[in-house]
Amino acid sequence: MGEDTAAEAERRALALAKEHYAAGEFERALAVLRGSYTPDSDFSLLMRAARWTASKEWPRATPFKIAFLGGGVLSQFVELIAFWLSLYGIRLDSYCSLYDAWRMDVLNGDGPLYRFSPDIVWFFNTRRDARTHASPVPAADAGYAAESMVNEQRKFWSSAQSRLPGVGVIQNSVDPAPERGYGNLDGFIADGGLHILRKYNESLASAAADSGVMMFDLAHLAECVGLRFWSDPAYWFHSKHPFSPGLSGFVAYHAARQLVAIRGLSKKAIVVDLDNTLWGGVVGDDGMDGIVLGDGPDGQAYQAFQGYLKALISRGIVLAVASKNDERTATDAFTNHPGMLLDMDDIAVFKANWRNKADNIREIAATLNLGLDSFVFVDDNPAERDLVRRELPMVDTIELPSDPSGYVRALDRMALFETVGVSGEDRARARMYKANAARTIAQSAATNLGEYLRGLEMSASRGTADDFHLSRMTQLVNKSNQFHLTTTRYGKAELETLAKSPDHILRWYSLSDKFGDYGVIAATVLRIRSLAAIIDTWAMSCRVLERGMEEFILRDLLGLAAGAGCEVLHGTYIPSAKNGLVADLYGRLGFSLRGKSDAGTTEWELSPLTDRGGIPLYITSKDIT
Amino acid sequence: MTDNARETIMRRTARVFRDIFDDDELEIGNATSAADIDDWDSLMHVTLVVALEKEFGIRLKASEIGALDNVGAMVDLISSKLKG
Repeated sequence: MGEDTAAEAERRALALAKEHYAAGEFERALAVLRGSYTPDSDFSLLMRAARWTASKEWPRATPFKIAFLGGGVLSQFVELIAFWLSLYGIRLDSYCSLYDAWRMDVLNGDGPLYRFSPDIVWFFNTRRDARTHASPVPAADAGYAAESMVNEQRKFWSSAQSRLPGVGVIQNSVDPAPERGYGNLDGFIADGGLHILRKYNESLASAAADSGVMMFDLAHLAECVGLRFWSDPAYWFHSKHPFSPGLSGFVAYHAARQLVAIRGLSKKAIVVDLDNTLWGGVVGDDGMDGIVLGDGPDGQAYQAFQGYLKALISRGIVLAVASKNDERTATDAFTNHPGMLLDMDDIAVFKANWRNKADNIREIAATLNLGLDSFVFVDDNPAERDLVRRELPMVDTIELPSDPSGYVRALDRMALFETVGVSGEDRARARMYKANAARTIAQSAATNLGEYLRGLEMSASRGTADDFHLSRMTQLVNKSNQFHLTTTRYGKAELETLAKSPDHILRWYSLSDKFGDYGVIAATVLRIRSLAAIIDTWAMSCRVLERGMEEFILRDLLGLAAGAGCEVLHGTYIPSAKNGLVADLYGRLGFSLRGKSDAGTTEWELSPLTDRGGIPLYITSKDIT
Repeated sequence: MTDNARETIMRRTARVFRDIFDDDELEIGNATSAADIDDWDSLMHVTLVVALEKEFGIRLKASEIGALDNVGAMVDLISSKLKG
């Protein structure tokens, strides 16, 4: 969407909201604004919408009293946070300290801050508030600079907490400056300003955790924008604006989303479409083989989006699917496509039918016993998005760009799932942390590759091409590009025929380790011709390279060849545009080169079918099925 | 600067004012100043300047931000920045 069309949409939305308001349709008015204004909206139009919204009474709004304490001028920020909050039914009643008087405000028990009696005291500090102790700092004291700054902040927190029982306290991490006195080393030298600031932020967060104070990551927002855009010295010198005032809408949006979380109004669930949302193409038209997922730029982009959704699930966000598709076609692709990162276990409710999406979302909400206002809707089709916005204004329907590379950001930037903390019941998230920690510990404990591989506790299975495995083998043979020695592309029927042939042996291989199961990751076709066994096809997933699967598979093939009475194992490498990775695989496995054609095809031979016990292998074998 | 060019800048500036004050009926002229519009205080002034910087793709010096006494001065400054 070009900038002009977004601005036009914002203008229309405000005009429409005004009409709805005049007709007494208050919820519709707010829904229209919610649907059009984003953290990246045009500054003037945001300020305009904020001004209008502030001038009106909103009957269902609940009050929220927040005191913003910090050394910079925050007026545009406060106007815009009021705007964002009103879109969520919250009426902001704000108090701002005057410039550097914020410290006095906190400590003065008889002062205006405590008469205001806020629900939340927000230490909206920025880097210049932290400066007083940081510079100039003699190198010898630099180590204590951060700590003393934190200790002062602790006094402010407890001053507020002791005088306002039950008050919520929020503390900003402070934004780094783009300029650095020590240049590149400013972040690492003991008395480097950036080093001290980072230590300060870290210590601040620890202290906050101990003190029942919630952190707000202003530093990250500044970095997202880019420190050079964030820091606008002209406005600091003119009017003490601590960051570029044009960014107020963006900062205010994220601040509002954190407050919305405190009020328990964060989103809890996502409904996603399938075609062109979780994969490229339309599975009903293109077939499972034709959808784009895993390979190529778009395929990777869709996979990355799935990965992002998977991460959301692991922290407790619920994922549902609503797709206009034949149920079997959709389920089949979802379950069997090798590029899928999500699986059916990740999906709380899976709806693939030809019904209206709004109806599907209503049913999903009912099934999950979650209010419709807990939902986010993600769909590549603007018409579907429009429909859901109109029918279900309480659902947050996000805009998606036409490029799937932008999908993760499109969802993430809306900060719809902010939380107040990790609850003790959030076991899924705890499990994820645990697995990561175990992985890190395993990696750091291993002093060499062998130890690391041993530590993975890998085990592999192999088996014949039965019905259950044939689909997956077909996928591997047809989808693998990099680890595919001969780039054969047998269809399922052809593989079925080969499986029944007395001269061919087909095998699938699967791998798991202590962190998880990778599923079926390789497929081979061995052709027996008198005393020679020929590796006609060897396709493997790139996810399991360099762990020993190559050796494991070779040993299996040697066993099969010997069992068929052969004396030599032949392998061929046919170069393709993508399989340079395995050009020398047979060489590395100990085969001898027997021939090479002009086109680059190489013929290899291993004979006799020797015992490979001398070669280390860290994969144990599960029973043959 | 030609009258035409100045007129265009004035028109675009007027649109920014109407947005910032949420008033499509607002009329401004060279002499319009903070004295004429109730809500035009020093903080609103910053909002106006930021909006004008974005509208015209210009940047004001720190010392210029506060030195604009009326709309005429704004339009003059904008036009000099556009030329330069």
